[in-house]
Amino acid sequence: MARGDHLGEFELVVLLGLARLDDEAYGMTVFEEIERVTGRDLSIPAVYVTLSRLEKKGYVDSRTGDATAERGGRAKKFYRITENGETALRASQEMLDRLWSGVRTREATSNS
Amino acid sequence: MNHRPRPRPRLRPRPPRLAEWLLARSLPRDVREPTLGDLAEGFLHMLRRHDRLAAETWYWRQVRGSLNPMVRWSFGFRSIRRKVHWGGARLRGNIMQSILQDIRYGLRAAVKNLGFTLVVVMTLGLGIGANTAIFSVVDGILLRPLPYPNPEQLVTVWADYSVRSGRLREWFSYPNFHDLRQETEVFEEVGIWSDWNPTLTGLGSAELVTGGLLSAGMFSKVLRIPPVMGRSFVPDDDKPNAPDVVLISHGFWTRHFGGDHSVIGQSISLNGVSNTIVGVMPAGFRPPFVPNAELWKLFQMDMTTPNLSRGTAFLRALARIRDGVTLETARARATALASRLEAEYPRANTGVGYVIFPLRSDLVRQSRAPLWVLLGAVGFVLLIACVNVANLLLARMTSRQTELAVRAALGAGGNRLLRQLFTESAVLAALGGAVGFAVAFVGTDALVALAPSGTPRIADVTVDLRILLFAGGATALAMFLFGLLPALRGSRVDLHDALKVGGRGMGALSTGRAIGNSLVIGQVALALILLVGAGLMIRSLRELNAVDLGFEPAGMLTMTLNLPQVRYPDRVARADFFNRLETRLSGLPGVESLGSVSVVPLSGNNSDVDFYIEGRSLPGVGEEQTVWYRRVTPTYFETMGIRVIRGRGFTPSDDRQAPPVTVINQTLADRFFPDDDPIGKRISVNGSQNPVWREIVGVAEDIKNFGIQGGSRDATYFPFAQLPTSFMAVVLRTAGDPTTLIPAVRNAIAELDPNLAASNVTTLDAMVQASLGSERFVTLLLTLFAAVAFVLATVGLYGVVSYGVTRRRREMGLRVALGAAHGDIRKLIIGNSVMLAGAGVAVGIVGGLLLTRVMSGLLFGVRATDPVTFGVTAVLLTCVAALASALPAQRAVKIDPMAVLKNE
Repeated sequence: MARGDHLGEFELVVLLGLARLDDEAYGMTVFEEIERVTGRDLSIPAVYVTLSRLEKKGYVDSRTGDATAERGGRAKKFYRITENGETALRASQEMLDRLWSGVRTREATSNS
Repeated sequence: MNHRPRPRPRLRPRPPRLAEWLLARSLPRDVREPTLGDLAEGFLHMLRRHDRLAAETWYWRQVRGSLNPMVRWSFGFRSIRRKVHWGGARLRGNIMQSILQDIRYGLRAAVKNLGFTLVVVMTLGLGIGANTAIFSVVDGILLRPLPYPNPEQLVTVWADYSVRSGRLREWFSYPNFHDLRQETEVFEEVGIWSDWNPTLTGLGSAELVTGGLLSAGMFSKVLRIPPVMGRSFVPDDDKPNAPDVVLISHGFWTRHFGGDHSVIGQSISLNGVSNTIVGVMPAGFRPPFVPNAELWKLFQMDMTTPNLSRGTAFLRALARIRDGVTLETARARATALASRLEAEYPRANTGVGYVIFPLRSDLVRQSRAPLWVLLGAVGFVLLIACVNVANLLLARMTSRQTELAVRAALGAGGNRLLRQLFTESAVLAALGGAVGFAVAFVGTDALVALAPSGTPRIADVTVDLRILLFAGGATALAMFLFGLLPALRGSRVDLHDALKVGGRGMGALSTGRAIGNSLVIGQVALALILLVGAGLMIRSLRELNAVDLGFEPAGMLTMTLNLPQVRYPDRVARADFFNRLETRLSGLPGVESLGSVSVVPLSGNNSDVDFYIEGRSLPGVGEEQTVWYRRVTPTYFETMGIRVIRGRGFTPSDDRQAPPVTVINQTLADRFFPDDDPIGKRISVNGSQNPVWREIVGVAEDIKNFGIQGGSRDATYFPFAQLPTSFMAVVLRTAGDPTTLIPAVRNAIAELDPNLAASNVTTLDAMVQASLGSERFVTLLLTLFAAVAFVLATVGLYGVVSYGVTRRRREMGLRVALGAAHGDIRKLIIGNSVMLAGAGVAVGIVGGLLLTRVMSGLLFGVRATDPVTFGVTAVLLTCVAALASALPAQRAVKIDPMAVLKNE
């Protein structure tokens, strides 16, 4: 890994969520995507904070959109994955694959 | 051209402001806008789909779910980003987060060392709780303003007879009150009151009710408390021929009428007279006088009757000073009035003045000294406890030296470490404070229950926010006292020393020995002072109990009866009733003897009157010659064990037909008949114009009528048969426990008159103890505090000596190796301990001599600097110090020099 920092678990989730969307992804859509696909209980601010961190690591890029009255006059920020981000995703997938191979989880047994 | 008015834009519903603010403060700057914008979108979405409540709930959930990561970005503080690896968890430090971290760590440490934590928290909890409980009593009685509007305007007014009879707080006569009331420029209203105990009949069994007589403006203008139902008294109500009306208390209303709202206008029978209820006072209402009264009635004054002579003082007064008028102005005005009255009515008013005090301070003046003494004492206990906790923490620092050194090595700077350690102490203090608050609740209830009955304002004692603030303050103080020192010590760890195996340990702590020793000396000093205080009170109480009362209270039962005017309209009827009652009661099994008296000793219901001696010149204007008087039946003296020193007591033949007689007491005899025999001389209490001369037939020994501590005053006895009154008490001497006779006596009374109720049913022993109520209360508490302080100080001393032995192991080992005998070692340790205690005792004695002066008003028969008390406690503490060090001394002796020196 070029950077020396591994993707944290939530960082990975957010990055994957972003990867599933197109260029018009912003916080709300990433949040909804993750929620829809994983059913995980998360919050919009948490997603944004993670996106901010990912941006600092260079894995995502952002551009500011327009403000609307509906948003109380606040601008939107659109995110997309950078090349480094893609690299990080791939590296993460490889690492996890390697770790997962050979691992057998026990069958869930129901309580009788 | 008509322009339609532009439609006003609708205000967009906004998300909860607080939530938005929290997020704004905690989000990183670069995503603040978009996040808030997205959330605003989501909020509107929820609003359209559901309702406002759902939308707000959703918004708050978003905030809550993101709080943990938020903490890392600090709440707006400039963060000093430091990464500290600790146990694998990565921390991005900043002030807020590190404090939270410290608190979590402190809680974890507390749970890990559960035994230690329990000891500390319990010690602190008891100390803080006791302080808070005592404070709540001090606050309720001394500090809290009275529960009336503008209470600072309320004053008590007394007639000042100090020039004439030596009494400063004398009661009023009606004319003197009436004249004062006319000073409306300074007084909004002056009110008068008096005790009143009518018999209530017609609502269940006959019952003697505590009540009060008032002037019309007392509740409405002086206290300014309106009734919760009906109306208050109005000036017309107290005209002599006005209908009989009463106000009842809330408790009376609940008890007898079940809270029925139609009570206004109903009548009740008091002393056989029908009274109409015109109003109900609010729940919890307690006038400063007769706080337990359930009924109030008006004085109905006819200004012309002889009862209202300017010289007859039977009233007490309360006034409200006009807004804007100062106490000094009111006093000056009253003094001016007194001078005018003196000139106008020289006979009655020469030397008579008005004295005015602020109500609250006058009401509680006797509670001040005891309460402040108790507060100081319990404060000492807390100090001692805090020192113990500090020593415990200091000792624990030794065992944590490795841990602290490692922390320091890994980058926790001195300040950071200091903060960590201090936060640990703060956690302990907070836990102790919580326990303390619970203790305070229970403790306050206990104190109120134990307080002597009749303590003014005891009902105003309550645990509320003020008390909580005090508890918080005490906790914070305790925290600084015991937390700062160990934290300072612990944060100055010498790394090399600490990490060396078998190293001498925290070098910095060796100077802590001096501090530890001084703390213990302080503890012992405080404990000594408390022990001396308790000892003085115990001795004082013993002296009080040993006072010769002049009568024998053991096995005596007493109860008071009030014969209603309606059924017992004249002397014949009253004398007759008591005759029959005494005959009936003397037949009861278990009754050895009985008698009746108008004033039971120590009951506080005394009356006095001017008297004149036959053949002597009349006392001059302004020269007081009064005597306290009681009416008694012939068997009274014998029943009470009061000796008749000269002449005789009364016999049944001293009745209405016989010549008027009287028995005087020793004090009167000594004062007015110092050289001759009073027997045969005659006195009159009927005024100087038409005297009724009564022959002195006997001299009785003095009794403690006014209080065990009081001196004796001029007193005289009249035969009840010759001067019967409606209000008499029966005293019975019984074999065995007097209280077992109560039902039989009540029955006997009921047989004679079923509509008569006995009140103040008690034993004389109980009355004697009650009169010592305040002293007993203070003694009990001081003894408790002293005992706790004693135990704590002993434990503290033991701890320090024990710790000293541990630290000086090598020195002990060396001494033994160099030939010291066991006895020498023991002497060293015990001698050390005794010296510490001795220093503490010395400091304590000096402090005690200064401080016990505060108590001198509470003591009887023993001086505040009593050498015996000081000496005994000094010796006691020193001996205990020697004993406490016996165990550590034994440990020191058992030190194996080889084992110790090998670790070099």
